[in-house]
Order: sequence, then C-alpha cells, then structure tokens
Amino acid sequence: MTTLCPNCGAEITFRSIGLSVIVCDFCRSTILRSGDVLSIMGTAATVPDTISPLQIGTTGVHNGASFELIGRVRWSWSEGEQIMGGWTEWLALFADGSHGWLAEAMGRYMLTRRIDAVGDPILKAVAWGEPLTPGDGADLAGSSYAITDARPATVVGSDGELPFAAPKGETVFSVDMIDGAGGCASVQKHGDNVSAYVGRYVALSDLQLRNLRKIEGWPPPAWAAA
Amino acid sequence: MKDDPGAPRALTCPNCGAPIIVRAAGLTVSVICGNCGSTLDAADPVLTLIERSNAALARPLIPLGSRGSLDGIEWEVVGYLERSGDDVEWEEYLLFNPWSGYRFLIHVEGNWRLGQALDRLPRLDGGTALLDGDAYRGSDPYNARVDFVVGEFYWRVSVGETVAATDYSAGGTSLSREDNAQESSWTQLKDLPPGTVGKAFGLTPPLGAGKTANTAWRDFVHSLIIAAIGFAALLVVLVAAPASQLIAQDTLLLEPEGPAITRVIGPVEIQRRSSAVEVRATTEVENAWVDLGYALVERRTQQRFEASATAEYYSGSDADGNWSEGDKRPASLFASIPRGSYDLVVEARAKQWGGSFGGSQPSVAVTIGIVRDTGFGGLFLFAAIMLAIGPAWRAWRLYSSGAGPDRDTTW
Amino acid sequence: MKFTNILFALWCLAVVALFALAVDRGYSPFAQGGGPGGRGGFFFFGGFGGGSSGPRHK
Repeated sequence: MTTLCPNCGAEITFRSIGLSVIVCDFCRSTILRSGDVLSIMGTAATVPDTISPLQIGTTGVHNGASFELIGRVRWSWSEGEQIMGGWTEWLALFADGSHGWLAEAMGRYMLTRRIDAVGDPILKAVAWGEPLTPGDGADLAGSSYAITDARPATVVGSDGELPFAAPKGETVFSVDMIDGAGGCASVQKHGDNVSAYVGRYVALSDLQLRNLRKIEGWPPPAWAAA
Repeated sequence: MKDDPGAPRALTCPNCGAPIIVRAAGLTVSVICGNCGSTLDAADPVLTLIERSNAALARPLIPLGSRGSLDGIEWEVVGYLERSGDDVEWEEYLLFNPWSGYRFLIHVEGNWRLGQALDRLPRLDGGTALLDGDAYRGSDPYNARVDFVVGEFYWRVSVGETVAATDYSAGGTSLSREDNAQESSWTQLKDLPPGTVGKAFGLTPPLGAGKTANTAWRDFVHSLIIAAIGFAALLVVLVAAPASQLIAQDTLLLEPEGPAITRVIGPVEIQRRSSAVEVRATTEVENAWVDLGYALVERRTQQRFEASATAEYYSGSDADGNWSEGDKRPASLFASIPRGSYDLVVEARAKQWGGSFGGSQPSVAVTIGIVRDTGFGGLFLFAAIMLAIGPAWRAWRLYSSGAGPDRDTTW
Repeated sequence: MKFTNILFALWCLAVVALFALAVDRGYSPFAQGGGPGGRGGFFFFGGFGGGSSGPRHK
C-alpha cells in the first residue's frame, strides 16, 4: 500500500498488511496506521550509522520461509550515565505476512518470533519486577533456558515499518536467555505488558541473504555475492 | 541513506588529537587511543573521553588494522589486550569481520588459539563442562586481570578489570568461562597449528626474544633468582650461628650380657637462652649392640629431658655374599634445652647377638661426647628443600609447556 | 614481576626467618629429646623404645 506522508507529503509504502507503524524516510515522522486513517505520533530519532551488512530491503530465507527486512529499532543499555552497549533489532516480514525479529548484537545474530506464552513463572517474575540473576534457569513455552542478562533497554532510534512506535528514550525491561543448543528467548516488559520471544542464534551465511549493504574496504563473502 | 555503503568512522582523539578509526561502528563501545592510551566512549556519537592517559603504548605483535584469514574468513585486528592470571600471562587480539562478527586470537606461552564466544550454554557436571556431546575437564578457577589494552572493543574494557576465569579442556579444544558480578561468558578455543598465525598475518619471526618472550622460562629464572637469594641468606645464618663445641666426654666399659652401667657426665652448661645438645656415642661393637638411655637433668630444678640410642653392628655372609648392617656411632639430639647447668645421666647395657654368625667380644668401650650448639644440618637441608619448591614447580611448568628460552614463539 | 613470584619471595623470607629463629633457639624438628617438639626417649630397661634385638638382615 502506497500513500503520502501526512506530515511532509512524501511517498510512503507499507509492505506489510498488519504492521501499524511506519517511519517516514524523508521527514522521520512516526506515522500510525489505523484502518485507512494515518496519524502522526511524533518524530523518530535517526539510527546512528553502524557497520552492519544488513539494511532495510535485505531479503533472506530461514527454515524455508523467505523474509524481507522492513524496519529496525536501535537499542542501548546503560549503567548509570554510561552507555554499556547497543544492538539493532531488524523487523523481518515473512512471506506469509507474519513477522519476526533479527537481532544483531556483539557481531552475533538471533532470529526470534513473538509467542503467546502463559503461565510460565518467568513471565510473572518479569511482570512483577522480581530480581533476576544471570545464570539462573528459566522455563518458557516448554523449553529450559538460562538467563544471560536482565536489564532495561532504551530506544536510540528507529526506521521503516514496525509493529509499535519506538520513540527515542522509550524504555523496556528485557531478559535474555539461551539454552545449550543454540536456542534463545527473551521476555520483555513494556509498561504493564509482558511479551515473550523465542528463536535461535543464526549465522548470516545460512540465511541466503540478498541485497546486503556494501561495506567499504570489505569485499562481500562468497555467500553474499550476486 | 539506504544504499550508502557502511564505512569505518574516522575520528580524532579528544585528548591527543591523533586520528582514530572505529572499524566496527555501532558494535564498538570502548576505544583506547593507540597514540595516547586514553579510553574513549564509542557509544557516544562524538568520542567522549572516559579516562585520560598519556602512557607510551607498547605495540602489539600483530598491528591493529592487520588483516589475515583464519578458518577461511578474513579478519581485521581491531583490539589488543594483555592479561594475566595467577601464574600465566597472555595476549588477546580481538578480530572482526562485518559478516562473521568477532573472534579472539589468544597467544599464550608461544601457542596460538582461536576463540569464539559461545551462543549456547555448556552444562556443568561437577568440574566438567558438557557441550555438543564433548566433556571438557575444568581447571581451578583463577583471577584474570587486564594489564594493557589498545584498540576498540564491543564491551567496556579497562586496565585492572579482574574476572574469575575457569578453563575446561578436551584435547586441542577448550572452553573458557569468565564470571563477573553480572554475567558469565563462555568462549570456545581451538588450538591453531604452529605457523598458522604468522602466515595468515604475514609476520616474520621476530629476531631474539621480544616482548613475547616465553613467560614460563622467565618465571623459572625469576624463581631461581629468588631461591638463590634465599639460599645465600640461609648460609649467612649458618655462618653466624653459635659455633658447636664439645663440652664433655667420658668412656664406659661394658661387659656383653653383663649388668647395666649408669654414669653421670657433666656439667653441661647452657649459657644462651636455649641451645641444642647432641650426645654422640662411639663404639667398636661386632655382632653386638649397646642400648643407651640418656637423661639430661638440670642440677637445681631437676627438669629432665630424655632420649635413647642404640649402637650396633652385625656382619656375616650368606648366599648373596657378605652383608653388614648397623650404626656404631649413633647421635641423639636434644633440641631447645633452656639455660641452666645440667648433668647427663647415661645408662648403658651391652648385648651379644647369639645368632649363628655370632662373634664374641670380651668388653665394649662406649665413648660418650656431649656437643653443644650443633645439629643444624638437617634443618638446613630441610630449609633448602623448601626454597627449591619454587624453581622446581616452575621447571615442571616449563617442562610441561614444552618450551625453552630459544623457542619463545611458535610462528 | 608476577604475583606468584612475589608470593614465593615471601615464602623464602619466611623459611629463612624460621631457620634463623630455630638456629638461635637450638630448635630442630628432627631432635629426639629436649624442649618443644622433641620426643622423650624411654629410659628403663626391658622396654627400650628403639631398643635392638639383633640384625634385621634376613
């Protein structure tokens, strides 16, 4: 669906059916779509340039399902005043209309999808803000994980289509978990809502990626050519 | 912006003005300026200074920015750390590739290992870590400290930072676990065949022993020097010790199988706060023995110290040839005898050995000598062995690392 | 210098100091009789602790 930005009049294209938010490439307005009605929710902060080979428009295949990256949110986490690290969550729109997140952190990639988990104690612990210690075990949707970190994360900037508006400074509490065989999960609390995501660590070379971003001084590897 | 290529960020050090290239923009959190050593915050769009430094920086063996292929992937050296554990020092290079992420290149005691942060959690079973069906045997935990750092890192890094580390090994592969207050991180390390790293990064072997000189060898030399100084100090103490002195002597004549004789020898004067006293018996027994009982008795207080000895000598021949055994001149040491005036009460009895090889002696003469301030030999030897523990342990480490002074690095 | 070497140097210092103290006091852990640490010998016949009864040669 192509329409015009209610703020600047630039052309904006929704590639998804279900996602409700898009950031205008031109004026950076965050636009909320509700049926055919578009409203402006504010201005999205720019994502600082990173050396990532991914970009909006990159396509790939995971477990036989093809996807395209159509949005991203850049997050950071801090200790006191100091930013301790940052990562990018790329929104992957699958051919069947569903979506997942390709998270890029510390040079590693995780592909996760939101699940409707209920009843797991970890969900309650996150909802109630109970202290969680890295190394502790946690069960989620029938799988066992160990917590790797539990900390607040803050939005740095966002681009493209997203299932929610991500204004700069918005904070969620995020608990990341891994298992013994490459599986990973996270539970996030935003306001009063707790959501759960499960997935796996992936190698970019396994995703049949196309339309990758060029990186100065680095010839693309063989699997990324063409 | 979509088709702009990703590029390293060229910036300027806010402390010294030297150019800084952030090679993994967006991933790098801390940058340590290669010129002045200041720590900069790369999570901030303009590099802000976290810690000012004007240290003259040591240069890593593989310069920052070098590229080389390992495991079929081209890597760029973006960071360099020098770290030390309780008894080992090593170097870590942080390698980066935009499509493959990070690897660690570890240089320890001449050997190179390539490490990758684990994306899955090994299962711990006692001191063993289980991963992908392999069992890795754990070491004792040790403290790993950052001694030196330069380049860029995807975590906050600072000199002096210490984590608790444990190594788990299985053949040429090992797992390293590092725990800080917040989290534990696992790295899987694989030994690289000698020559791999030098070839990958186009290095020529350094002439002589550079700063990567074998640490095991250096440790051995250090411990040897310390032990030698300790040994010299022991000798000084021995030379300065009070001179040993024969202060009384008497001879007893015993009849084999005859009655026991009691003899009082004295005085034995102890003038210092306390002294060692050795009673030396000298006999010429043949297939006989003399049982000796000693009591050192203070004349005024009657405080007594007791000891015993046996002088004996036997000889004969059997199918294996001639044999002999026994000690004709036994010595008994009394330690820490307090100041005072003593008598030595000796009770002696001679016995003939009635075996088939038994000889006969009409009488046995036993000379008893009392020597003061002696008997430090055993203690000296013991102390010297205690000093040798350090070099012996280092030598064992050196032996087990298979390295020597000339083989300081395996290219 | 490494921490373990400093530890070892302290150990050597302790060994030398204890040796000097022992020499000064005439102490020996290998002594048979005497003050602290010495073992008293038996002093009656018919039961010498370390008494002999002939060769141990077989």
